[in-house]
Amino acid sequence: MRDEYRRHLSDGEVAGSRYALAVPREALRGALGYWTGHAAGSSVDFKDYREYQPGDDLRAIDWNVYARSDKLIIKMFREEVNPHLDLIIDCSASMALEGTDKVRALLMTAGTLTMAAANARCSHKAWMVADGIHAVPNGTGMASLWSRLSFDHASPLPQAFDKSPALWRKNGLRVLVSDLLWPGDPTESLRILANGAAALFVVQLLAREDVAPSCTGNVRAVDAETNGIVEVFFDALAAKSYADVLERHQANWQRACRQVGAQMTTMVAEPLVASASFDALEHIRLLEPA
Amino acid sequence: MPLLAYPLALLGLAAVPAALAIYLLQNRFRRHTVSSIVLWQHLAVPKSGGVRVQRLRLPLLFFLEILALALLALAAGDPRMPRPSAERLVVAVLDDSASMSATSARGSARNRAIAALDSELSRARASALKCILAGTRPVVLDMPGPVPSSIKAALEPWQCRAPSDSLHSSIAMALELAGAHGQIVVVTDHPPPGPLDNERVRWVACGDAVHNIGIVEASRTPGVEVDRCFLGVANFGIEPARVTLAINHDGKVKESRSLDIAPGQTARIVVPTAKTTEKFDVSLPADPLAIDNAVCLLRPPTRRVKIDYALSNKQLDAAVRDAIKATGLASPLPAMPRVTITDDPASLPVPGSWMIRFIVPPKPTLHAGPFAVDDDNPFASGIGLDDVTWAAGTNVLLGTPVITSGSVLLMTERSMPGGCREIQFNFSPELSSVTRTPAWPVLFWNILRCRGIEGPGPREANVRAGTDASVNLPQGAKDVTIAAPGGKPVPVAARKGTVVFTPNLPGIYTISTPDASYSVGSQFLSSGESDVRTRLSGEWGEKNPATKMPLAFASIAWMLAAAALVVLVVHLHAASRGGGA
Repeated sequence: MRDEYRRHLSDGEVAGSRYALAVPREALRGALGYWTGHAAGSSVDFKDYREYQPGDDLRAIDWNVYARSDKLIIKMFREEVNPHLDLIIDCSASMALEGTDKVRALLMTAGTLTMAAANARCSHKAWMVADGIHAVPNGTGMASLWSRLSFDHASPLPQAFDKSPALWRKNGLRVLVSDLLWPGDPTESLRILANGAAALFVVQLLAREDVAPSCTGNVRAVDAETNGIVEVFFDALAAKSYADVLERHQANWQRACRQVGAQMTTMVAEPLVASASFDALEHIRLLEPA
Repeated sequence: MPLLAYPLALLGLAAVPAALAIYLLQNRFRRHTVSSIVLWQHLAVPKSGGVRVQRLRLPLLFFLEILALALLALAAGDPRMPRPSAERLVVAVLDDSASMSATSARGSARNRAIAALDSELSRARASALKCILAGTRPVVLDMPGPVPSSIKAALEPWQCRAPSDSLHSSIAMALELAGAHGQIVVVTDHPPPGPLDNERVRWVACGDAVHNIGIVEASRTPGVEVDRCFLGVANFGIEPARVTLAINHDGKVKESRSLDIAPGQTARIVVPTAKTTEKFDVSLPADPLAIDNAVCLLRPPTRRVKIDYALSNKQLDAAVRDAIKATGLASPLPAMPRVTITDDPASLPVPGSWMIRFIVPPKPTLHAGPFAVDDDNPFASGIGLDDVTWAAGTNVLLGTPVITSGSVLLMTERSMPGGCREIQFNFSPELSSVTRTPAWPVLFWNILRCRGIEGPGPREANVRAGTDASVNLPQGAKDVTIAAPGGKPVPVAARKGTVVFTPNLPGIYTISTPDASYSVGSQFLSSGESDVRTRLSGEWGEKNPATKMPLAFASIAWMLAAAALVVLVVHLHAASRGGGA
């Protein structure tokens, strides 16, 4: 992995020290952990009584109650849960668009989210979408220790699901960081992402060049991933048309996110890199001040 | 067809292919990597329809730029369109010789010449005129550039009294003044000497052949008791003529002489006049040419010299006095130029005076010749030393040798500071025979005459018109003026105490200083001008020469620059509209 990627992840960790992951109630499920869950568990916190059912643990019988009432009643205690963050990073070539701060912003975001997760006593695991969905080596540790991240793949997310389905933890937080710039209806991909997740957050990360291209005149647009070519005459009229299409594309994703109950936000890479401020993530309640 | 003053400026047209290349490069599709062409596909340039629109948009600006570049490059080359020049210059060469004043039944040749010149100017549609008077020397008349409304009034200085013409040199000067396109008109009274070899020269003769009798020779020679006036009268006619000369001696004595002169012949007479006669006037009856009908011979100036004798050798003293007496040039008057004659080797010359010094050798050697005489020296003029013995020593004389015998200097002369002059003789009178030869008085006559003309006054009392006259001025003379016959005194500059001028008019010229006044008589004596038998009228040369309209080349660079400016304004407007679109 490039040294600059590691630096960007480290920068994200530094930025993320100010944040903590805002864990939703739905994520408070699981085995023994730091958080007290809603379900009955084996923690020492008393929750409620109920009648003994055959098969219940005899150690849970409240013998004091039996002595007084000759009824077999068992105590129920709160369970200890440990929330989890699955961070899905789009590693397609478009995320490292040359001449932009897109990849830097992406890795800073990843570093911030992992540090925020740590601040919130959440476990995390990083996944890269690259010819399938693969766990990032050392992706459960500090972001600056990740390895083998590269941004030279061409398959969008839907194709990645087909190649290798992910093994995300149930009832965990899932955050997708991508530019979302591929054709097609995103609803099915979002359903797969949201399936079994306590919460799904979609973070669209665009370069300023993606939002408002600076070129003029006769332009041969070359796709960074597919090398597809489109020749256009880019003037003010074309720029307006481009913005309209982008807005419609984003609206389409917003609608799909609402359908699956996901939260979506859009960040622009250059200002993000300059300010290292993740207000947009705070706005969708993915992050909160630590 | 326009011409380019700076054809190398057309190298600026190399910017045209450069502009074309820039346009081609600019219109190429520039590669731009994008995250996804999903957002660009709807902007794709359709193959049918939109491309044609794009191609129509660019060439207008491109062609405007090319047009502006071409106009600017051409303007930089400074193209010039030929157009007829507004100025048509005619240079007139006017024969200023006296024959032009000869009159005939049609009037004077000068008047006819003025009319002919006017006609020539009209025919040539002249807009500017320059005139050269072709007298003894070419003189450019001071005239305004445009053709004067009254030619006659403008040519008032053209008097036709010169004793000769200078047409050849005047025509050469006229060609210089005329430049490349001007025309030359020669106005005279005789045909050209040969075919005209320049098509811009037009020759107009306005003369008439007339018969004339004129004085062609006149001189006055001082004699012992009377002055002798020599006169020559020529008959330029076809018939014998009897003329009566009216002779006037200072207006006191009048006489007449009749002469019978055959056609084409010159009759000569000698008329004596008293030495005191200041003006000896001779005149002929009126005839077609008046200028040669009269002469006025002035009394020749007295050239006496005051002699100071300082000779100790009695034999030498006697021989010198005899020779000087024979010259008749000695004067007792102290105001005359002085000459000191001495045999004292140590005596010093008096400032402003001449000295004749005899070096008498103690042991002379006889020299019988041959003698070398400097014939160019005026002191040795007319000296013959045949059969002469000259006793001389081996003394080394000082000065320029005049007479030598082998390596022995016998006579020298030299100039001394202070206006002095010294003539030295290496001479022993006892043993020399030269004192008994005609050479002895001739030597002194030459010396005294040269000394005499060094004094103030004209060197010659009478000169031929058109030749130089020289007048010696008193020492330190200032504010010298010369008055021509019938004219006003004009200041002149003297050089080394002498005024030299060329009298062109017949008559008496007066040279004056505040303290003295001298007269020089100018005589019109020119048989070439008096003979007007061969004068005639005619025209020679091209009436409509090829260079009838000189061309001027006017620059049209400003027009091209203005057109380029208009194109650039249109380009700016089109570009702003295209950028706005």
